[in-house]
Amino acid sequence: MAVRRRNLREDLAWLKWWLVALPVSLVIAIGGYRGGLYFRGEMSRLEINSRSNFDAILQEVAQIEESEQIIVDNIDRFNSLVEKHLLDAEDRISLLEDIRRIRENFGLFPIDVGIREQTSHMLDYEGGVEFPEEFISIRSSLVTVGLPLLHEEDLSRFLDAFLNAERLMVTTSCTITVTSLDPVMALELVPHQMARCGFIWYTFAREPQSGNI
Amino acid sequence: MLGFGSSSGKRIVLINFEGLTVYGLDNDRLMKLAVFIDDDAGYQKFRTYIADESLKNISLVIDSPAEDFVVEKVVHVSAYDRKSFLNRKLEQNFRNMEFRSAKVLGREKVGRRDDRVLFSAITQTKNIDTWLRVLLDSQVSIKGITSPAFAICKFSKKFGFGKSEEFFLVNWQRNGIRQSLISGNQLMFSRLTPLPIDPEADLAKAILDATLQSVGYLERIGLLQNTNAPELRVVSPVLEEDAFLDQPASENFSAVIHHNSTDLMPIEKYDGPQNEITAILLCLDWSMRSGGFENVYASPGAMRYTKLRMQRNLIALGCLLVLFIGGMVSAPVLTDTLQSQSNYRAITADMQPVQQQYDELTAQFPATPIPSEAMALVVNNYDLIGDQNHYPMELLSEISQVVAQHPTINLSSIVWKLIADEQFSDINTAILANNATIELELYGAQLGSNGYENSDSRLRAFMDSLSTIEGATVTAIRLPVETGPNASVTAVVGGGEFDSEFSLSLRIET
Repeated sequence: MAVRRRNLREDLAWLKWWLVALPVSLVIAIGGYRGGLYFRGEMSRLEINSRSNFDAILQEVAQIEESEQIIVDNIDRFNSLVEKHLLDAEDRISLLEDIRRIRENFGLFPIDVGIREQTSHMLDYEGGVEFPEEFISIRSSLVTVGLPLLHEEDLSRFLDAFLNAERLMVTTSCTITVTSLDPVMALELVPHQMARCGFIWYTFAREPQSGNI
Repeated sequence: MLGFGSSSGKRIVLINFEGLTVYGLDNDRLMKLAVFIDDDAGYQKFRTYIADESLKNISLVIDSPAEDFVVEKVVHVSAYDRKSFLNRKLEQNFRNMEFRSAKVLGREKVGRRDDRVLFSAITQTKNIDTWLRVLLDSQVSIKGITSPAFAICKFSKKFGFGKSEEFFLVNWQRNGIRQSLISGNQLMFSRLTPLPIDPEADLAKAILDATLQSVGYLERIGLLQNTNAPELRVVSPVLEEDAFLDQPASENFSAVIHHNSTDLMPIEKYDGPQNEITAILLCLDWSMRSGGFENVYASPGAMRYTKLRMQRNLIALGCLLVLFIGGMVSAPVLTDTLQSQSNYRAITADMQPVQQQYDELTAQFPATPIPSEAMALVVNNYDLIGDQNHYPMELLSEISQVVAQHPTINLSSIVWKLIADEQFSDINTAILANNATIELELYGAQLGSNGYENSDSRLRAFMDSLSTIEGATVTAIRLPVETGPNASVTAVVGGGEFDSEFSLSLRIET
């Protein structure tokens, strides 16, 4: 007999590399697919990131240009406000001293001055500034002045001097009351009228990043 | 390589009394490519030839005089049992023969309707075994093993020999005269008888005598079905066309037709001597050009490498299919990836000038003590608040001018104040919202009135004058005499002059 019967073991040995090739090709196909999915995910992530970066950088450029314009528009005025101590704490002694100087300059009757406790209010940024780098609060104190007047001109002089003292003051009330209607007293150097005025004294303050006051 | 149906390397190997001959086509001509003698040197040369020519697959034709045929009627069994049943019958007829075959020819038309089965075998295989061992050692795929008898039967159909139901086909070949009985296009019997020893002997007569012997034998064993004399067809390259005309033995056949084999094959189709063109060569040529022989004798062991290569090809096809499907499934993913990559590159390219602009802007950005938006916030609020810092004296001066026009009006008190709408809790909040309004309250008296009507008209004239102040709206808080129908009025009506007190509200809309 020239021909032996077929032997399964020998046949498998003859086909072994091809039998190995089948799972290898399966692994390559699945691996290729999974690899493709991975690279698609990575590339998609890169694309999204670069798109976000691009948008962010465009926004940053626009913001920088806007900031630059804001600085150009406001830096001089801001510096002048700093020079006027509008961003410093209230200097109440200085205020009293200024009132004393005004009274002396214009020969006014003694002036009653009252300064209430300070309150604080956080200023809101306008739309477009979601995450400000710094918070600013505005602080306000109510100042009341009682001023006996020889005539109306005293009040006019006082207000001119008081409101132009490089402070941010807003007059909230001013009451003038005639104190003497007796014509005999009209020519005497006594208070003929009484003025009581109220002001709000504003200052600004830079707040810590947390925004807690 | 894998050899998926390649025909250029197609080879047929003929094993006969001369040894082993390899046939192939070259430029559409059948060629005897190599001949190997049946000895050790021939085996070694054949082994070398296989290696040199990278012979991968062949068809094998074994031309042996020791090929036996037995036609038997066996009981008809189902297709399921037929294989094992025929194997048992083969074992009975040709015990331990390697090259054997059983072929069902058909069923009897009467009686039990038994199957008629042709059992055949090559009974002397010494030289064949050696050649086959060389082929298998060299891992050559043997697509099939057949014999000239079966090959001629196939080939006879091509040349239209099978017009009669039953006929003898005689093939002259150099080692003898092969007589094959073909019935219904199926081989029933074949035998190879030697040529006359005397080269001068009448070959036609020898053919007729040998065939008559076969006819007699077949009649004795009852294999000849037809009661009429059979038809005889002779294929040879050496006989003249009229060689059988004057032969008395021709009368024993219904017809004797001679086909010169050289006429059946154009001269340009074979690259060898014309006298080699026998029916076997015609079969080889036909097989080479049109598909091949049916396997008759090859056992599974002999066809091992054919089967293995087929399995290998199937596995390779499976691998390709898996890779193809993987590629098809991965293609959209790859397309998406390439699209994303293209987008990424485009964005990166677009971003470069912007990035450069950003770097330049950042480099030349002025140093500030405070962020720009905070700076703007301070300045804007400063302006907002500063714009609401009114000087009361301006408005008081205007009121003084109005009072001067009305000598009977005497003011005792003036209140100037900023007021907030109801929506604001205090004036501070209203100021920060730029929503404060100026309001004045005037307290005084109408002096020296001599009548209520006169007093009322003067006061209204005063109020009208106040209304001329820009943006002013005058409202009476208290009048000397309440004129509305819902108020109650009490007065002392006398004859002298009197002073009538009033209070007014003056709202300035800015």
